[in-house]
Amino acid sequence: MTEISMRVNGENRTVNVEDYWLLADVLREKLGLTGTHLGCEHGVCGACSVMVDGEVVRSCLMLAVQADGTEVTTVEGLGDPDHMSPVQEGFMQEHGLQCGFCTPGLIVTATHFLKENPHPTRQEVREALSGNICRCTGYQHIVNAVLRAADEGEKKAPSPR
Amino acid sequence: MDQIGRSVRREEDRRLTTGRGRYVSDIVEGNMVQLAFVRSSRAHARITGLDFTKAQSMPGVVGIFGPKDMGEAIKPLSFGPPPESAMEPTMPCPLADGVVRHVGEPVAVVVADNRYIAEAAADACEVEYETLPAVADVQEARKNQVLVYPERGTNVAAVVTRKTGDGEAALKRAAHIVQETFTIPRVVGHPMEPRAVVASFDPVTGRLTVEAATQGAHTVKMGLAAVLDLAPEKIRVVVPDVGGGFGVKNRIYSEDAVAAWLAIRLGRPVKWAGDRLEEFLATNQGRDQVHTASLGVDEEGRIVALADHFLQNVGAYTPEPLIVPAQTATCLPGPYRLPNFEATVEVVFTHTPACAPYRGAGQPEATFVMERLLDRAADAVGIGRDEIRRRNLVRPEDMPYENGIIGRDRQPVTFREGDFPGTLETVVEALRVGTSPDDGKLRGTGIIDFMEVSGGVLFEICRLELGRDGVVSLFTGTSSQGQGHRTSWAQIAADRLQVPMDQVRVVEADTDTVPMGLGTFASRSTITAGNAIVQAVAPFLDKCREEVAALWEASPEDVLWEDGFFRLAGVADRAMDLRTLAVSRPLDAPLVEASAQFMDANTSFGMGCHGVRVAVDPETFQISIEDYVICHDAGVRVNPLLAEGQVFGGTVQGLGTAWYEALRFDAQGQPLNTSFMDYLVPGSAEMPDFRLVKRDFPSSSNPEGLKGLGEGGTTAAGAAFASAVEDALRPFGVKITSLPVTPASIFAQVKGGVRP
Repeated sequence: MTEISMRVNGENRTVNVEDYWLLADVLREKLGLTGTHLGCEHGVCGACSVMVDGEVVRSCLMLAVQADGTEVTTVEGLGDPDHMSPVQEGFMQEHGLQCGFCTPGLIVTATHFLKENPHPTRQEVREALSGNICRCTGYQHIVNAVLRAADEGEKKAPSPR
Repeated sequence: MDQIGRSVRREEDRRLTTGRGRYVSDIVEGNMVQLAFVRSSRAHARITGLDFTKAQSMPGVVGIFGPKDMGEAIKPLSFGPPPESAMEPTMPCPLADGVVRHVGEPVAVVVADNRYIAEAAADACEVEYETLPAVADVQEARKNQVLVYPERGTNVAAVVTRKTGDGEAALKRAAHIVQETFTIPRVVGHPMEPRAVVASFDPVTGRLTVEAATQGAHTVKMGLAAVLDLAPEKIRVVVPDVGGGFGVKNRIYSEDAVAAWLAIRLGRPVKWAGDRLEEFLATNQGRDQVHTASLGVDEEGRIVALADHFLQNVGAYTPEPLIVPAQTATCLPGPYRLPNFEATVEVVFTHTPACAPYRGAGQPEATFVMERLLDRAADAVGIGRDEIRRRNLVRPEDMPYENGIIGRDRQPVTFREGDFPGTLETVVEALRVGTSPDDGKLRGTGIIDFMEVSGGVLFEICRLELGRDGVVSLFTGTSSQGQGHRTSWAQIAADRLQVPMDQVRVVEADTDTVPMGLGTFASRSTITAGNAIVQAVAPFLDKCREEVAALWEASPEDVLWEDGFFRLAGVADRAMDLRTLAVSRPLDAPLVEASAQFMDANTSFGMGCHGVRVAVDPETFQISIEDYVICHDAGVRVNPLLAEGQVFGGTVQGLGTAWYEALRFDAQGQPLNTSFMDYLVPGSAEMPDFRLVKRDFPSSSNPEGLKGLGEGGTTAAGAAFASAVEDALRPFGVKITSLPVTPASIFAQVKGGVRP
């Protein structure tokens, strides 16, 4: 067991973890942050994406001990049901989710992407999300959701309808 | 207060977008243990020894159990519905009883404090196999050289036939006959949430509570009752948030039975959360058919006859025995006028996971075969691919049109409404074909027609209950895996009850709340639950009227229901809404509740057309989609935004089968590509933006005019994509007869061919 300390969603957390535990499992099982989902556990689907020191990582490919001393942001840290972030609000308004299982990873990825590219084109959004698999939506409404968030929810995202 | 037809946003999205969902794998209960399964590494073997000694001594291991430990619970799991033809279904036991018949079949189970320990211990369990010959390919299996069930003497589990008119014999009257062999590969459904179950047993009440990621709460309940030999009343199945289903979460699985058995045996809550590899190995899969089909047309391209002999690889077990092959056979004629038809399918066992309904469930396969044949016939006659469809589609003046085949509702397939030719023209006009950039790419278009079979599968019950707070609770047995039923069902109820939507609370898929339910599959939920909700409203309001009458000391006949208020006939100032009624009733008064059951006796047929334009790089054969137009008749759209989501999502799953997906097995039955690194699924960068053109025709098959639309996109996309790519590759003379269409599969055909 190793004691690690992380700042998770703005709170200092200290936990004892086995060295082989993944960051995803520590977040989910030791810190109760079950919004981070495990879809493939081999780093492809992106459902487990979280931000570590401002970069998007796959928490199923990162050991928790590697996150010692870092700042971690999960989907829970981006907003709550009464104070949704623009990306979360965009997903709701544009029906950017169906089953919702891949959604946390997409929202983390899209949030990071919009910080770097606040006014993207449709194709840029599609490229940015290409590491996150969604099996339900067909992606079109997700792209609409991210573009809506880019507009800060002020005007509706352009849709090819 | 019209609620039907509004794009209401889903209330659950506030939770799901902020990480507050409750999926089965998120559930934590005190004293909970976790499971990992020891799975067969062989496709066919006799298990001659199990040695848990090493694993058992690992710290954190609670216990390890094999089939002998489970005693009476080692019996075949239940299947359903019963097959229409002579067939003896086969099902796995919760743990393999001596013989394993596919890689991944559960052999033993480890119980441990957490999943890390459980998986490590599962790896340390030693299984001794006597490896037996295996067969994975359906055509090889048909030769009966290696038998999956030697005692049967054949791998053919059943033969299903459909015939109209003179059948195959009519082909000889055709001017042109086109014949091809078509292959639709084995694909994996892959909901993003792997299957999962949590079971706990309450010794005080003697009841088992199971939270399952399933499409059918009551199906799991009845299946558990059968395998564990428990009274159904002793079992409650509840379905929390579910991360996708697509048909493959629709029946009881071995892991459900083992988890429930262990919860009782250990007296501790038990969790099994499967992983992606287990989705590849141990969850029902789809497709896997090989067709030899012939289409005969006259000089003008009018269909004379269709004949098809095909094989269905059903895998080693039959959780839903003949649903898929029967549906393929039924749907082959599609939305066309077809006087003579004959299909024979042999359903063949192999040493692979069960092949069962997956989104479309036989319809994508049928559509691929028929639409490919029409493309071929158009070329043979020398007319356009759109023109041959124009000449053969069922027309509005033909309706009601019976094509002579008995469908899944045991009624003749009948098109009662819609405009197939008009739909085709709409898509032809909408598809952007114009001039292409001079970039050296080859371009092609595909336009195909399809029908969506929805509903026609038994019943659902809806129960409405007036709460003390005036909120009407709506209980039904369907189950949402992302479809947004809570919103749609509340819209329907609020519309008819004339109350705001937040005055309706939807409770789905909790077996304690309605006596029976079928669940969500076959694009049936909106039709079946939707009509049941509407039909529960009248008796519910009658009960309310009696209550109001009692409060007013009036006769129920004098209490009227208008615009959301009860009024006393002839008395202007007497009015009461549901909330006021709820709070006015004495605390000791019985609940106000009413139920209705809707039996969906007639399948609904939606019509549709997909038009797609692709560009293909002539050097690399990389394909890109440049335009994609969809017309998809949805009948009455309860929530247009959610309906659109179903169409887009379904189409992309169809494009997955068309473009990327195939699970390959070697000759010994070993699956070869069991990760998302070598089994590709569609991603955001390659998928197109779809354009919808709307033509909706309310269903004449149910009172509310509802139709399902979850599967049609999947049904159509493969045929449309193949047609467009083949059209683009005319200079190479490429013929597309199998899916997926990949740069590699094209290259294999072109190699040695003529380059333009």
